[in-house]
Amino acid sequence: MAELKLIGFLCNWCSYAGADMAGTARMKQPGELRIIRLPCTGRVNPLLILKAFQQGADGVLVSGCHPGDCHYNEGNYYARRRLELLSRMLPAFGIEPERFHFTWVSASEGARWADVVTQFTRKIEAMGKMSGAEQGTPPAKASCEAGVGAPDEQTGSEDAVPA
Amino acid sequence: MKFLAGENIAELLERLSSRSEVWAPRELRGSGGTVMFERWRSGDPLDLEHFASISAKDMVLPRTEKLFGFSYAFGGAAVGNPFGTPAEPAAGTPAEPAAGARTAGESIRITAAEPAGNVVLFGARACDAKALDVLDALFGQTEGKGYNDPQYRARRAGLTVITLACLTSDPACFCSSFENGTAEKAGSDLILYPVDGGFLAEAVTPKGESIIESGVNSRDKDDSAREPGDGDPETGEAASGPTLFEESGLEMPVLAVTAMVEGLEGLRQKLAAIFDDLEFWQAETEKCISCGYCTYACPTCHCFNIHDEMRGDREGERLRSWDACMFHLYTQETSGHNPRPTLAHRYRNRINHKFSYYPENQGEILCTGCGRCIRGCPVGLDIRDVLRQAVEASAGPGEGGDR
Amino acid sequence: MSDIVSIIQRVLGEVDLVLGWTATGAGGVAAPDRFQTAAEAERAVFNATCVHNLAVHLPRLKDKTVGIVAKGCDSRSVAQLIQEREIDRDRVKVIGVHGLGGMIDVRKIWRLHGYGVPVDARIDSLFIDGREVDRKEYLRQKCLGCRDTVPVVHDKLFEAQGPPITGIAEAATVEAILPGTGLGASLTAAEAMSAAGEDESRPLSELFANMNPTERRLFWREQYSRCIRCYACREACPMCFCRDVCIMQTTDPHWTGAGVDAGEAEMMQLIRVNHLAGRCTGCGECERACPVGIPLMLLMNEQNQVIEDLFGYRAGTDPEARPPLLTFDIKGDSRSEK
Repeated sequence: MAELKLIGFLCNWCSYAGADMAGTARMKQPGELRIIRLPCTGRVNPLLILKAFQQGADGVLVSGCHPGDCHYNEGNYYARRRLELLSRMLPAFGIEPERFHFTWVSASEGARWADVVTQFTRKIEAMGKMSGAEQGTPPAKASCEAGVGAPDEQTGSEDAVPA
Repeated sequence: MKFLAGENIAELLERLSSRSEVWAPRELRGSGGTVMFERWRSGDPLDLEHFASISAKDMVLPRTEKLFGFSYAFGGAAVGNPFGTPAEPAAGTPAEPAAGARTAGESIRITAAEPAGNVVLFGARACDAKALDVLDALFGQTEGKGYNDPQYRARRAGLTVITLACLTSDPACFCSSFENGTAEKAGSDLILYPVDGGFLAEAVTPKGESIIESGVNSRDKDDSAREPGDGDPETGEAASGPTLFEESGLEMPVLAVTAMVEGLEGLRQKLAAIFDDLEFWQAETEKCISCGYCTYACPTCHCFNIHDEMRGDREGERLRSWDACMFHLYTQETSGHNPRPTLAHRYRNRINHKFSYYPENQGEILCTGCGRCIRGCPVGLDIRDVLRQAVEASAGPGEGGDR
Repeated sequence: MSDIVSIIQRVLGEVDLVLGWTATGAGGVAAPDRFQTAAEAERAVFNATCVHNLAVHLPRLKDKTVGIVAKGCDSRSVAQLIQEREIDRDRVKVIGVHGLGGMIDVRKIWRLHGYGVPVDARIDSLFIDGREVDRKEYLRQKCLGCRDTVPVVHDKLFEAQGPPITGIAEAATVEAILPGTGLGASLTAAEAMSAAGEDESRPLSELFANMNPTERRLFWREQYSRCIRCYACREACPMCFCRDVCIMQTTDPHWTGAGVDAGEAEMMQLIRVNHLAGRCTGCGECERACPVGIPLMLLMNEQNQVIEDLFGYRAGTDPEARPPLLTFDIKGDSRSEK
């Protein structure tokens, strides 16, 4: 199976530190997740998640401070509403809601982080890669079949000439 | 005149699609009845009754086309010629290395766009075909004479247009306002005139003739005893292959005459007279919501934008995409200044480009009266009303009527 | 009962202009118009083809005092614009239309009877080319479940006196129309769609509801593949008032590429859906304006429903309300915690 693409949006103050802790404590965890550090889950524009899916992510994980612990007092409260709405909208967009997970991990919860990542990765592994996103693209117009929007199918010939 | 039985259309498309891509109008699923020109594949349905919502211009000017791809690379490779024609990709014209080189030892690799293949456009109307002729006046200019667009020319050369003549029209049609109206032949290679049981076929160009030729000669020649309209589409399967075009003494049908816009003679001067009358243009565009439908559906509107679409920061593509003069961003300058800041300015330019500038520069009116911009406008704006009122307004104050 | 012309003329005494409708050459179907004098207002009409949501023009007319004829659904857009401080309540006079019996889907008439066929679409009856037809057959989909017959904000009321809107049409169930097809996970989106093509009377929303996420993904790809990027969905939307500075077209940030294909069109719509969360009033103008018939309201309706379920909130029903995504509830929101 082709490698899964998993994206994690982590808040700087809790979950990123928690992930760091899991790493320094050498806790065993799967390596598919690619982590993007953000100042706060309140910064997580739902479009970031949708764009990730649209660009071929098979799963997206968002993790921040526990409610009440936000470094900016209330960022995660706003995030909680937005992401709840997003997760309920995913089926309408054609994305299985299980591919998106939203949770809280504090800076001291290295073990919990390792657990979250492991479970999430296993779940997406069981679901497999997201199908249909690329194959579903109907044939492009006569002349733009050269792969606009389909980065992996570039077929143009290389025409570099020596200097 | 040759006769093509209605039930043999699919067989004709089948034969054509073995050599070319075939594009034909079809109603799209889940679209509330939208008809568009779509890639035809064996067994696909056709809709020859309704008018396609979007013109067929993307056969020659696609909504998006790749001009070339590029990537930065280390090593001895240098720059290919981005403006080489697709036929002779980057034929060695080495550009100055400094032009694109980012750092020492780094150079740009250019990937040519895919060459255009052969396309048959089936079921265009006279207005769609004429529009190609109108576009040719600009994009078809040969190399060395002004504008040079090899990608357009390659597509145009590979395009065969089979036009369906109009025996009926609807109230949005106004092609009869221009020279030949529904009888226009420019841009078509083969014209099909609907008659009882099928179509009379008239070849306009050698390309059209060759379609009739191949339809007469291919496969079973002895089958010519069949009467026109003697339809048995099921038995006429690929194995036996019916003769598609037969001699016929049927009379030519009467073509439709559409609504007309009067007073278009001398329109250039008339438009010039009200150029500065911004109040007029404001009144005309009051209900416009500034979307790009009219320009994108138009068979003659051809403005485009060019973007470098990066994929990461090491490679990308240069794309040409449709652009619309009704968009604010169309004339937005980097400084923030916009020479056409309001809808009135933009619509004025749209009308002038169609009926003044293009005729002056290219000798053709940039409108064929297809009426798409009228039928599909979300707010019911009618370009004919604007023209009529422009004609009235230019006649002088006091006669401009209620606006 | 007073007529629309005299109401507009009265309101013209208090404002610079009034937004309303006039009949066009396309078979008498209404198109938006604006009136500045009593004489101009003589040409005003109100009938069941006045589908346009005129609130889209309000943000462009901030320098004027404006009267607007608004159906119940349109009035929600006006209320939402007031809530977002985009327009000033004191500078808008709303002529609310009350008692409509649903609006007519002109596109459907044109498709079945030809563009420009003479249409006499009254509030309670419909004549196409001089012959009376069952107007229920031609009602807009969104009108069937109308919950907004009474305008939310209004200064004057125009009594349209149409038939009661409830019970106009019972939404047919999938089983009732195609017994035993068992539309669902086992069918591909394409198969589900071609089943839809066999029966036009069945709302697309029912088919969509029966698709699984993968089928929907394919469904949307097919739908978006015909997008021409004319931005009519955005321009027709009363709440998309960013207009010329929309992030759909910025290069930094680069949310959408310049290409015109299904992927970019999908991203465009994801942006719209997101930016209209808790703001969309469900007027359906995006879908109506779409020249290639992409069923955008499937997404908008879904989101509006989710927001109502989650937060008990409907956009544009209270100009004083706090938007649900601009606030939070420490205790209440935790029920969905994982």
